[in-house]
Amino acid sequence: MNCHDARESLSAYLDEALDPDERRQVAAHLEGCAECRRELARLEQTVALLRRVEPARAPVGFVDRVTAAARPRPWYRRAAAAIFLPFSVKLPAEATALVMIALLAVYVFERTPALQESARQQPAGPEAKREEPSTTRSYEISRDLRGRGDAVGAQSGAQPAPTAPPSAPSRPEPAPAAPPPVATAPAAPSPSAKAEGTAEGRRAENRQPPAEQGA
Amino acid sequence: MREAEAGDAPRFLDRLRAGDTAAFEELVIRYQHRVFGVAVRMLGSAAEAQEVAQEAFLRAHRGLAEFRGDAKLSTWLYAITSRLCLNRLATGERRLRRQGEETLLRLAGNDRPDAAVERSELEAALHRAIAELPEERRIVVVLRDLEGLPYEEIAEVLELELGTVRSRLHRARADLKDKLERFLP
Repeated sequence: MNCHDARESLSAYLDEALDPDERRQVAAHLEGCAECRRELARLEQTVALLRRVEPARAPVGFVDRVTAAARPRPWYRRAAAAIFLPFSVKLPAEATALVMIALLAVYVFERTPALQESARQQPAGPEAKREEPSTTRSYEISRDLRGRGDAVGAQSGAQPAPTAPPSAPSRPEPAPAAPPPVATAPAAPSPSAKAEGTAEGRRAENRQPPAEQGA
Repeated sequence: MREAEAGDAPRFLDRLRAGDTAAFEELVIRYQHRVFGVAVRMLGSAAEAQEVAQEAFLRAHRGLAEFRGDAKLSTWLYAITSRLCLNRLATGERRLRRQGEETLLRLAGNDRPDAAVERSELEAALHRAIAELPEERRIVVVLRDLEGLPYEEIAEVLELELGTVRSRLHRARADLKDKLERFLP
């Protein structure tokens, strides 16, 4: 047996865990090898140090915690947990989901001009679509700023039908219940919007500087 | 072995299998320190060790009805605990690493004002050296040199060949010898 093989077995030799034949071989090697004897002594001292380590102790109350955790819950507690506990988890989750869906819907609506357009537009007739001016959005805004009354007044032949084209004659009576038009109003406003636009236009005209009014 | 295996008496096993609460409590009282000891040496954190030790007893509780008694109760409990520790270490589920370091110092006796400084230093070095061993060697040295299990039982607990136990133990002790050189006479 060489030093390498002997050292591999030194730990088991110390623990008397070798079979008799192997033990005899290691003992014979140790007798003639001072270096391996020194190694055995160091190993023995290391094991002695390890065995001086104080045994760890479980914390106070450990037994009670384990036995309480192992104890089966009474049937009414289990039933209550099955019936009520899910709600405490489910309800807030559902509420959160609803809010998130609502926020997502608003976000998508805000980010999609086509959706906004279709939401504002009433069902339009074929001629309304045909005569809808293909102006840019900035044009619409500037026209609104100048006064919608003028814009509507310039258009003749406003129809009483909700889908009236811009060429329809404007009606004299304004629709008081109509909402005020916004700056990004569609190209073909409804009659009520136009009527309101007329009133709004007048108000806007009053706010115009004199030079603008003269124009 | 630290205690006689009185817990393996057939009557006691029958009570355990029948779900006797008092018998289970007796089992926990008898083995709590050993199970916790393995867990704390392996994980280095008292909080994690407590969690794992509790889980080990709960698993044993669930499996008692099927426990055939081929192995000793202590071997079975060591096997459950070792597996839980090694799994936790393998999955890197180490939420309490910092706390673990504190535990090692506490185990080393640093919080005991009456403890000799030299002894504290030695114990701290011992715990650190054990904690630094690779897990598969650490569990073998913990079971052998701290828990006092024979080679055959370690092989059974860890489901290893006897030769593997021998070589891992030798490597672990050789590592510790190098790390603790300055404490050796």
